[in-house]
Amino acid sequence: MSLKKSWELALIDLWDSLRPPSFDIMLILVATLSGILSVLEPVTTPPAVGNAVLGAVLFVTSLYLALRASSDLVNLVQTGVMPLYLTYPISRRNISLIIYLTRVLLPSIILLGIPAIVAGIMLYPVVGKNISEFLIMWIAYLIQAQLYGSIFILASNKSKSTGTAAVVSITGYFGYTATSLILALVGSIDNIKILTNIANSMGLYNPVYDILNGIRTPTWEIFVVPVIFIVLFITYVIYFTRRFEV
Amino acid sequence: MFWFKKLLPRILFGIGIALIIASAFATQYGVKTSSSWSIGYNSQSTPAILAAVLPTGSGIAQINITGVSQALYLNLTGNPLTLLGEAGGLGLKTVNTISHDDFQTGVYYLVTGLQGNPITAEQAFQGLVKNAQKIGNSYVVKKSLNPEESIVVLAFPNSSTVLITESFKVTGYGHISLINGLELGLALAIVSIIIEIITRKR
Repeated sequence: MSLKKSWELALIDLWDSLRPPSFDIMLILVATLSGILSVLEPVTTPPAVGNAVLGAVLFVTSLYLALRASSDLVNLVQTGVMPLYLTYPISRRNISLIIYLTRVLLPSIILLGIPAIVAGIMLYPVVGKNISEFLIMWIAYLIQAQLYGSIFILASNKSKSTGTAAVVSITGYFGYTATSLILALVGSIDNIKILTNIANSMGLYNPVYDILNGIRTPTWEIFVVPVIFIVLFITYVIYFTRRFEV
Repeated sequence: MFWFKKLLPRILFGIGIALIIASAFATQYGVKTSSSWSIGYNSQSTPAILAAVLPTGSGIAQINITGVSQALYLNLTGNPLTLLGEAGGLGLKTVNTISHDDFQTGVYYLVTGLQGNPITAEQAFQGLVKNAQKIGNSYVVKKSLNPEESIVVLAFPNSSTVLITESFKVTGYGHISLINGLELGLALAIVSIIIEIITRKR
């Protein structure tokens, strides 16, 4: 019963999250962008294809998640849809997981996955050399998107206004990426290795790319993004389960 | 207006359209697999010249230098521009840096003069470098490079103008042909419409 209801709720919310035509426009945009980016400069290894294509796609995906997982979620509360969700005979923890699945995980899998498929087809002689390396890069970008998505969904849970949720989410995203850029710049100019390492670790795809290319990189760099994501995700589930009010 | 309702046809349609546009773009503005750049470098006040080829992908780099008494080369991993900073620490000053960026081939060509004691320059690179091959009046370096690798040549001029030709040929790159891209894209778009019609009729 609970599983059937959970599936039903997931389908209903997924339709709202991926509703046409906005999702389709975004999908065609990122897929075409990735196809064009893949043939702009000669990338000759699968990890390099991943970096060339998914970097720009991650930006677009993050903006989409900021709208769907943040301001749209507050909108569900304001329009009375969320209270309806909460009347389902499903535990709050399961509802929080379903919302995360439909608002963050599935959209990011599709928005990062389709461009990766297009790039893989466009550059099949290159990607075909080592598909597993290409997949590892894709997973690194997917985990990075989960980090941003968990920031957005947490912001929407705390905020009661769509505008505030959107502003907090986008500020959080740009704040995070700007901090990484500034640390990299200062570290590079003043030759401070630890700042460069911290900046590198703020994007999971950086240490993953380095490891795949045999470039020596500190092991801790690979754990920074997953650990932050897990902490934010658990905070979201606990907050939604215990303190979230509609 | 007709639009897709099911997720699978929407995704297939998106991939199809992307393949058609990207294949057409690749044919018109896509990657070039080789490029070269030549320069007559005024070496009157520079006892040493540093020439580098910095590619983003793998390929074969070649540097020809005419008008020098000796040329040494080394392979570097990572950004060779950091080498210029280290050269500064040895009392060598980089002057009159000229560069050329070929985005479509994914390569950055660089030539710079080194001012200071040429013996210091030679000693700084000793142990790391190999002698370039002399063919006729020119010194030639031809190396196969992996991604994240670059090649740097240090040369000591014996004439007022040094002629430098740098070239790069991409290896290990390939993309779908225009015909295949168009056919596959069109097929996916048609299949997506057929799937949508069938699922609606059910």
